[in-house]
Formats: sequence, C-alpha cells, structure tokens
Amino acid sequence: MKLKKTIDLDPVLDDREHYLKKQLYSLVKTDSSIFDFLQVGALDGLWFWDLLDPENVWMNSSYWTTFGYDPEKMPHKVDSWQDIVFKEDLKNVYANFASHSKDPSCPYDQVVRFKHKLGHTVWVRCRGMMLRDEKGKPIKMLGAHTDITDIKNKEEELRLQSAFFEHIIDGTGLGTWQWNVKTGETILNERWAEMIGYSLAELEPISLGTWLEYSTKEDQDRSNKLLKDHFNKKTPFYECEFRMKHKNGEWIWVLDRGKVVSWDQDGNPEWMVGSHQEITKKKKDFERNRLFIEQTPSAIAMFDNKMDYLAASQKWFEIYEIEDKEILGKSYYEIFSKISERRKKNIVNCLKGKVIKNYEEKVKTKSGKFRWLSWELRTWYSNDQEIGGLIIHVSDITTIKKEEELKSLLRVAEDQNRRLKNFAHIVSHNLKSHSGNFEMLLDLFLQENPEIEDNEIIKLFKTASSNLSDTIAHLNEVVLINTSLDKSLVSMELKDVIDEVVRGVSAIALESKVEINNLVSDEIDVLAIPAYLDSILLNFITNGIKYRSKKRKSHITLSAVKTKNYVVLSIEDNGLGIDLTKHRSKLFGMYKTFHSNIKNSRGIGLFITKNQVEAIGGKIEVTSKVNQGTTFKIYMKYEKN
Amino acid sequence: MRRIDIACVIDDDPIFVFGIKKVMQLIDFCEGIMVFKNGQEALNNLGAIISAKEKLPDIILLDLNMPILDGWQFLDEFIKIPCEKEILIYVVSSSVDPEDVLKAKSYEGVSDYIVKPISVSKLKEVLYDFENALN
Repeated sequence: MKLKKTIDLDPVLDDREHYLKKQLYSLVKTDSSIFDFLQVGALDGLWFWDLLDPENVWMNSSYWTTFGYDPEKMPHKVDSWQDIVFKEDLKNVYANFASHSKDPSCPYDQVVRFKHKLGHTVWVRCRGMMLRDEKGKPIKMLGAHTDITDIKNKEEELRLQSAFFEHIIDGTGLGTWQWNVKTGETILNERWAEMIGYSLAELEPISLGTWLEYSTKEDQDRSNKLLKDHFNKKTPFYECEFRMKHKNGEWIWVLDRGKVVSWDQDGNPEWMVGSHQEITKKKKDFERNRLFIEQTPSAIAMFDNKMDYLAASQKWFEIYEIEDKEILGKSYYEIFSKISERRKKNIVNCLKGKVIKNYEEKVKTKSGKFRWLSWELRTWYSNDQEIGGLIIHVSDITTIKKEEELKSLLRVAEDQNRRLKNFAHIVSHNLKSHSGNFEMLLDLFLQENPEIEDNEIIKLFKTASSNLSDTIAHLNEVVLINTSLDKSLVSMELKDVIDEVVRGVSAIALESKVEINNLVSDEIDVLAIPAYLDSILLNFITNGIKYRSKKRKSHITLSAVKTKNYVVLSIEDNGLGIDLTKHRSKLFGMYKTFHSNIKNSRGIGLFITKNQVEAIGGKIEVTSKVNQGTTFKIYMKYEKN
Repeated sequence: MRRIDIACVIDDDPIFVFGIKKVMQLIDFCEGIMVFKNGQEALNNLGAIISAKEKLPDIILLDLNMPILDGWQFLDEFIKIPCEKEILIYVVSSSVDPEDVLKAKSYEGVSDYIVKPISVSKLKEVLYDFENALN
C-alpha cells in the first residue's frame, strides 16, 4: 500500500476535486505540522538536494532510521549516503538522473539497495523529481524513499519456492497438467508430452481430447468414475493408474494424480491441477509378480502387516471357495467370516516372525465339503528387514488323503484276499484229501464186503460221501477261477463257440423239446478264456433247458450286439422265470436255488458263471418275469483293432 | 508182460497209505511195497539202496504236500542221483490246481499226474501202462 501513497506535488487543483483534498492542500501550505506528519509518517525517507551547490542535501530523520543510523549524527552532505549504497546500483541511478534532467517526463524511479547498519540489505524504491527555474534548468531535487525490503524478501522467497518446485518436477520427471473443468481449458508441461514420445508442439492444440486420444476407453471410464468421486468430495484427491499409447506404439503406464484447487460459488470444481508419473516398470514388475502369484499352481496369498490382501493365487480362491474376485486390499478377516481363535493366535505369532506349519488339517469349506489342507504361515520381510506381513501357503491334500485311505483299504483287502486264498488252499487241498480218503475207504469197504451194498445206511453213506466230494469239487472250481485272473484272454468268434456248445447239448435239447436259435452274426469276436466261455455258455443254455416251462413250446435265443466297450450277448428263454423282486440279491449266490421242483438244481452254476464272466472282465445283467421267461445279458470285452 | 516188482509209496497220510495198500492187494499190483512218510525219508532210503546197489522200486507214487521235504523238493533232489534203473514216477495228489499239473508234467521223470482219491480203476490203468510199456 505504501507504493501508492506517492506525494502528489502537483499544485494545480481541479474544481472537481474533493473538498477535503482541497483543504488538505491548503493546510500543507500553511500548517507545517501537516507536512511533518507526512514526511515522518508516510515515507521511509525524504531528501532535498541543492543541485546548484551539490554538496548539500537535506535528509529527514526517517531517511536514516530506515538504515539503522542516528539522524542526529549524520551530516546533510551528499557523500554521507554513498558509503552505504550498493555500488552496483549506482550506475542505474546515474543513468536515470541523466535522462530525467534532460527530459522531465522520463521518471527518476528505481530500486536501490542500501547496507543497513546491522549488515542486512535494505531495498528502497527511490523516486525523485527535479525543480527547475524558468528556463527549465534543474536547481533542486526532491526525493522520496520507500522501504520495499519486505516485498523484495517475499518476492525472493517466492522465486526460490517456484524454482524449488520446478526442480522437483524436473527431477521426478513429472508431467503436469492444469485443467479447467468448466471451460475445458487444458495446460500441459513439456514432460507430459515427452512421456509419450512427443513434444508439446506436436500435440497442439492441447485440450482434454489430447489425453483421450492417447488412452483407452476402458481406462477413461475408470478415471471418470474416480474424478466424479473427487468432485463430490468423497476423496481428498484424484488418483488413477492407466495406460497411454507411446509414439513408438507401446503402452506405458501412468500414475495420474490431481486435485481441484478452485471451486465456484455453487461448489462446482473449476481448476484442477495434477501430475503424470510414469510407472511402466513398476507396473510391469508388479504385474509379473501378480501373475506369478495368481497362476502359481498352489494356494498362496500374501498379506501386509494389517492382514490386508496383497496378492492371492487362483488356487487360493478355489480351495477357500472365495467368490469375491476383488479381494486385494481387503482384510483377511473380512473375507473369512469364521476364523478360529487358534488361527488368530497363529497369525499374531507369525506377524512377530514365527513360522507356523500344519501338515494336515481337516477343514469344512463354505459349501460344506471337507478338505484336508496342509498349510504354512510365514513372515515376509521388506528390504529394510522389517516384518512386511505374512504369506500363507496352503496345499490341498484331500486327494492324497483319499489315496491314503484307499491304500489302507487296499491293504485290508489284500490281507483279506491273502487269507481267503489260504482258506481256499485248505479247501482245495486238505478237505479234498479227507473226502477223497472217505470215498476211497468206502470203495474198498464195499469191494471187500460186497454183500452190504444194499444196506440202506451204506447207500446213504455213499451218497453223502459223493455229495461231499462234489461240493468240494465245486469249491475248487471257484477257487481256481479267482486265482486265474491274470491269464491272458484270447479273441474268439462268438458264433462258432455257441454252435459248438449247442451241438454238445443237442441231445438233451432234443429230448426236452427246446429249440435253440443262434442269431449271433459271424463277425462278432469276444475276448475270453476258452474254457470259461464254454462253461459260461453251457451253463446258461442248460439252465434254459432245465428251467423250461412245460406249458408251452420252449426256445432259447442267443443274439449279440457290439457297443462301445462291450459285446453284449443276450440269452433269452421263455421258461419259468425268476421272481427277481424276491431273489435278485441272491441270484448269483452260492448254493441258491429257486425252483424246488427241479431235480439236479445244484445252485452252483450261476455262481461259477458270474465269477467266470467277471474273471474275463465282463458283467451280467438279468431281466425276468415269472412264467414268461428270463433274459441274461452278458457283457464281454472285445479286441479293438 | 512185465510185472511190478516193488512199488514205492511216498505219502504222509496213513489212511491213504492204508487205502492204496488195499487197492494194490486187490488188483495184485506188485510183489512188494515200500512206504516212506515224507520226501526226506524216501530220499535217504532210496539213496542208500542205490549206493548199496540193492533192489530199487520199479514205480514211485509220490504225494506233493508233505512235511520236511515235499514232493517237489524230493523230485529236485532225486533226479540228481545217478541211477541206472528207470523208475516210473507218478505224482498222486489231491490238488486239482492246473499249475501243479503243469509243473508235474514239466519234469521229465514224471510219467503222469493222478488226482486223489485213488481208486481200483485208476491204479489198474497205471498197472496196464506199466505192463504194456516197451522195455
């Protein structure tokens, strides 16, 4: 404000002037106290120089106090001030003095520095005017000083500060932008353009569109959302990472930050300033790390020391059945609602640097499934060896556990099988030798005593002995089936084998009036052990004959189809049928018979047959209706090419 | 026609031994019978006979399942002993396991495999084969 209070020495007063101004001017002329007040109170120094006797100059007291001197002790001589003025500034002073003396319209006005008595610099705006005689020759000169040190200091401070910021921006390689949200006016710095390989001149004219042109729609949408949040004052500043297309065709990553710096009366944003920082390398490194963790084939997650997610692998989501795909930054405790006290304690301990492992733990997942997990909590350290957080590594060992269970079951089964084999051996050998002895002794006894052959007891004894031998023989058959599983299978033409078997039973079939039709076509081959296949066919066909219905003309029909994995042989009869609702479960059991009125029903045939079919890798299905007939379907393997 | 002079039965089952002796008597199978309770006993005695050059059996009926030295072990040892006389060896066992049958037939010295119980007819066949064999 001091600057504007120059002394107006123009004596001409206009009628339009304020009356108070007029009064003040007249008072100055008459009352010297007014002038005293002005020169002491309003100025930082006043001097009056006699140009005709240039040795003499009058300085007022504030002239000297401004520079820290006692006015009483200072002479009113022209050289009194020359010691404290900055010599560098004098050149300018002389030049201005010269031009002002030649031409009064050229102002004598400059800033001059003086050395304060205490050593610091005092900046003074020094103005002056010459008083001339009638011919225009300068005779006196009046000067006024205004101390502008404060302003100068502020200016300097400002200059330093702005240089400081420029250095920072330069040094950090920040691109800067200023954007008027209302008018769209946009100002960018050179670095902004350089970041994407251009000069500012190349990008002219600059507008908001300049950014739009070099970024993606997807990123722009994201950025707009974040901007809106900031405009609505939800966020203290705007921050967004996005890609920009470099001149060389590659995409660079930019961290964009900004802040609205002025708002209009309605609270709408006006000016916004911000910066672009290139983060391509960081982003790529991060991206690589993120991908590495994400695609790790095991479940792994990284947390900071507040237990917020930093990264997590796909497997992590799978194992814990986490549906929220955006868990980064979210808390571990938020994602898992139920966390055991033990786990919480483990986490606290781990964050203190302890490694905690558990080799197997059964956990129930969200969907209620049980999983066996093996996990490890491990601390991770930042560069400065501070605990940065922890890494949780989890392996799903459910399959391994299941395999272990299976293996142990297998061991039990193997053990049982071994004992069964042992038992089978006893049956096949020991029982057989005992029953053989019985038979032999009975035989000898009858040879020696032929007269008792008609004895009822001896007769029954003989039957019992032969039944015992039969039973043991059957058991032996079964034992042998189970022990010959690994015998190699032979490919055989099914139709031929059936024909052969049918020929063998033709006599009984003829006698029982059962018609046997072999509809199996020539080209169907099956894989089987020849003796088993014979036995299987013989058993089904003789069963069909044995359990025929006397009430109708009987037939047995054999047909076959080839499916993807099996040849399916159907053996269909129109015989007595079996009540499957009653008997299905024991149909293929040992010593099970279902027709009390049929003689020679031993109940061993289907049992052996089933075992034989299974021994060659097949299976049997049965459908039957009482008094209508039975169809057996035999699934057998065949050679594929 | 040849006749069986001495038949040798190697079997640990006394009932079987009793039975076979009876059958042999019935069909007049041989002149004399030698019985050993296991492979080891048979090997010792037959070995002694060979070294003493005494009379060896013409035919051996060998059980498989026996204590100390079983039928297989007996066979393995017996065929190592050099012997001028050709002795017919029949394996007589309760086992119907095809593996046993095949294994028995793999021995050159084994003539046949007879499944127990032994009967008059089975022994008659053996006798017939012996009498009608050349040499």
